[in-house]
This record gives sequence, structure tokens and C-alpha cells, in this order.
Amino acid sequence: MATPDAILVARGVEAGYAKKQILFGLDFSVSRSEVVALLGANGSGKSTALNTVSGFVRPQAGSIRFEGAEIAGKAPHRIFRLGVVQVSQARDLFSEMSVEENLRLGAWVRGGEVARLLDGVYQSFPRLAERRRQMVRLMSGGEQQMVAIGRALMADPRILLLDEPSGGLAPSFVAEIAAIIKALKARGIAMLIIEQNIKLALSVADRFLILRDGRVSQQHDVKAGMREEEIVRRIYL
Amino acid sequence: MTDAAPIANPTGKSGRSKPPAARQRRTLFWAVPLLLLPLPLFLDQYKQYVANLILVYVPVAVGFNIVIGNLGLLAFSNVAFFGIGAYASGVLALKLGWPWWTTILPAGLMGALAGCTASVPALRGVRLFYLAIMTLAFGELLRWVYIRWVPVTGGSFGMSVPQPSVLGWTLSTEGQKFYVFLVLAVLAVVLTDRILRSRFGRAFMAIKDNELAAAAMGIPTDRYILLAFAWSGFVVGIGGSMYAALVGHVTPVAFDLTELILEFAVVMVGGLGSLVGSVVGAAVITAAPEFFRGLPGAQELLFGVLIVLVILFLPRGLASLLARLHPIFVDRHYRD
Repeated sequence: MATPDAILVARGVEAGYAKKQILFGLDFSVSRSEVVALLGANGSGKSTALNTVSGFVRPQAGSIRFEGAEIAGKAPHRIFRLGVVQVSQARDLFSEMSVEENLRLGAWVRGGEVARLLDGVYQSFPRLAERRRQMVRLMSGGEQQMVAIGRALMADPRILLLDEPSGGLAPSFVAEIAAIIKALKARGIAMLIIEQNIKLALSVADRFLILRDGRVSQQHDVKAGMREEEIVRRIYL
Repeated sequence: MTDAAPIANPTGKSGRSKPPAARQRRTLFWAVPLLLLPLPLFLDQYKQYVANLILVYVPVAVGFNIVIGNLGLLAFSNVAFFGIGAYASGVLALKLGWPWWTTILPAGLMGALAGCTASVPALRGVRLFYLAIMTLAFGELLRWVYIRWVPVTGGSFGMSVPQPSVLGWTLSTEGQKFYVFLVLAVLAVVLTDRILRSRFGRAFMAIKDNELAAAAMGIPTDRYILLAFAWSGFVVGIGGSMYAALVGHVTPVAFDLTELILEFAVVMVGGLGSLVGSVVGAAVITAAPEFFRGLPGAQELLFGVLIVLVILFLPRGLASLLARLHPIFVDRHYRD
């Protein structure tokens, strides 16, 4: 499953919360510049998989290698420093701070390059440039998602882990988020995406994995052109 | 963002140049103490004692506010640091004969050590009321030590601290103590301001706003929580040393829950997370009972009503009122 240019490789990952195990031997890989979508029913372990990669959930067994180095069980801030950056479902923004303060904190580990990175993000998201002084909690869900993605970009990521980027957003914003993900893909940023909106997932991903009961039950190339109804059937039935 | 070309837009520079208010604030730190210099000329010994007590509560409030206001953790170990600082100074001066001024730094370091110890539950992920009760227990445990460790602490009766001296110069009047305390209080405020304006302060702010997000941004949250507790303990410990020098007698009863409530009131009335608030709160809460002294019986009542009114109408403390008057008093500790 792991190609020679795989940057993220998970093998036999088992993880969960307290006594409840969620992942039972998860295997997958993401190659350089590749976008992989994780699909699955509620409770299949998608978010846990992402949180285990980013270090917020400690795996009980298995290995997760990023660019050859073992990252399983490392602290979240150490994994982040390697360039594995998560944009979580709850967006985890600093709600009492302005857009720009949020973005600057995204570049916490980057030191002196803040001005350059900030220019880059404002260029990609002119809307954020207009609202850089605005308090994040006063923004709409879609705008907050933009701040979250912009803040992740401030860290100059090697791979982005996106947990439901379109979750809870108005249709117009879903289209905008899709365009943003495509633009990131065009720049060659590898991504692992959880997405309930299968249309969106298929429009951006190269490959999709179907999770069931904490393991990858199937994986398919998007180019193979599987119909959406068929994918839904395979996820839930 | 590897291929994003810099654009000819000055936005990237925004927030990097110091806002004028921040520069003015620096002046505030030096101008106010300078204005206070002639104070001992106008005050009698008792009023001077109260002024000195205010200066003792400045580092105590500043230190407490770091953990509860800037870091946002509900930890009440500050009275423990205060007691440790006072006892460290007292024991070194009385038992080992060190001049008081040489005990200030060790008192701060003992406070910092207590700060590291008190941070253990927080580092293990204990939060909110659980953290509050555990840190309260830490303070009470230390009080038990003060009472039981009679050969060193003097037990329930406490110990008398020799008259303080600085470089062989005995501070025999309240006015003399005032100048030394003023220097220490200014140092506590200025150094804490430096810390809060640095990368450390930004990390504290991020942790307070959203701890998980802070960790997700690569901020080693544990390290900063430990640092905040240690600095808090250091500053409050120095406050304890000043207290020992001011009162001349250290007893366990001075570090009980009533003291904690008083210090909590200082921070709440002044303004959570505000350095200006810590100073104003220390002044108001320490001086207020003196204003009501002419009304025996109603003193505690009026004091209580004052606190309730401030919290009710100024939830962000008196600092927020000052901030409305002039931007010089605004202290949002997040700027490069």
C-alpha cells in the first residue's frame, strides 16, 4: 500500500479513549502531493484516526511514520513541528483574538518568517486581509473555517489533516472551501481529509479510503469513477 | 505557502510596530513611582504602613494574576507561595542571621520551587474546580507544616523577624521601608510586563483562550504552564519576603483562607489578567478598610458592598474603567 514516495504511513494503529478502543489495526499511507479522503459512517474512527496522527490521541499499538520518522505517541507540538498540521472539526480557533493574532500564532514555530507567511495567506484569502482586526468569535462559520485553514498554512505544512472542512457550512461556502482545497492541492500540499460531503471529497481527492469498525475496509482510486450512490452503499451497508 | 510571492501590501508589517499606547505605558511604570517618591513626607507612621502594605500586595497580586488571569487556570496556590516567601525570609534572617535584603532572592526562589510543585496537578491535566480544590489543599498542607515544624517555624505562635536591613543600613522607619518596597514592586511589575509582552505572554494567552489549539499550533503548553507557575511563585514569594520585613512577625494564621479571599478580591476588583488591575486592586482593597475606619461596625459591610458593586458593574475590574479613560491603561498582552 505504501508507495516509495509515501510521506505518511500508518501500520496496525490501535487507539481509543480510556477503555473504549476505536481503531483496530488501521493501515494507510499518503504520498507526496497526494490528497486522500477518509470516508466512513459515524463512529467508524475517522476523527480518531486524524487525532492519532496529530498526537492528540495516543496510539496503544502500531506505527505511524512521517517522512521515515516514527511519530506515534509523540506530543502534538512535536508532531506539529515536523509539518503535520491539523485543522480540526471544532476549528479550535482562539476565539477571543483577532484574525491576525490567530494567524500569527499559527506561525509560532516558524520564527522570523511571519511577515512572508502572513502576506501569502492574505493573498490566498483576501477576505481575511479585510477582516484582520476582527475578533474571530464574531465571524461566520465559513469565515472561521478560512481562518482555521489560513492559520494552518502559516505553519508551512508538509501535510494538512482536514477534519470535515465543509461541516456545518452554507452551500456557497462549501464551494469556496472546495476551491481553496483545490488551490492547495495545486501547490502540492499533501492532504488527508475527512469529509461527509462525498461530492466535495471526490472533487478534490486522488484516492479514498472507507473506514469501518476502526480499520480500512476498502480503498479506491477516484479516477476509477465509482458512482456516488455506490460509495454511499459501501460506507453504510 | 512555499510559492506565495510577497505582495506589495503593508499588511504583513501591521502589529509589528509598537502601538503608541504601549510605549506610553512604559513611561507609566516609571512616572507613577517617581510621583510617589515624596509620599513619606506627607504620611504619618500608620498611613505609611498602609502604603507599604499596598506595595507588598502589588507583587502578590501580579503573581497571582499570571496564573489565574493570564494563563486562565483556576489555581489558588498563591497563598502558599506568599507564606513560603515570608517563612523563607524569616527563617534565614532569624536562624541564620542573614541580613533581610539577602533573603529576598532566596524567598523568591523558594516561591518558584513551590510554584513548580503546585503546577504538578495542572501538568497532569487537572482543571477547573478540581484544580482549585487541589491547589487550596496545597496551601492548607503548608499551613500544617508551619504549625507542626516548631523548631524552624515557631509553630502556631510564629516567629519574630529581625529588623530589616539593606547593605548594612537598617530600615527602622516605615518611610525607609517604603523606598525599598517601591523598587521591588516596580521591578515585579516591569519584569512581569516584559514576560507578558514576550513569546511567553503570547503562549499564556493562547493557552488561556484555547489550550488544545495552542498545543495544535506547536506550543509546548506544559512547559509554559510550568513557567507561569514558577514565575508566579517567584514574584509572590518576594511579596512574602516584603511582608515579613513589614510586619516583623510571621504566623501561620496570616496565610489562611481569609488571606486567600483577600488576594482573590484584589485580583477580581483590579481586573483579571491585567497588570494595571493588579496594582489598582492592591491599592483599593488594602486602602479601602482605612477609609471606612471612621464607621465602626459598618466597616466590613461597606467593604463587602464595594467589592460586589465593582464585580457587578465592572466585571473586568477597575482596570477596564481606567482603560476607558485613556488607552495608556489598556493592557492586552499580545503584541510583538
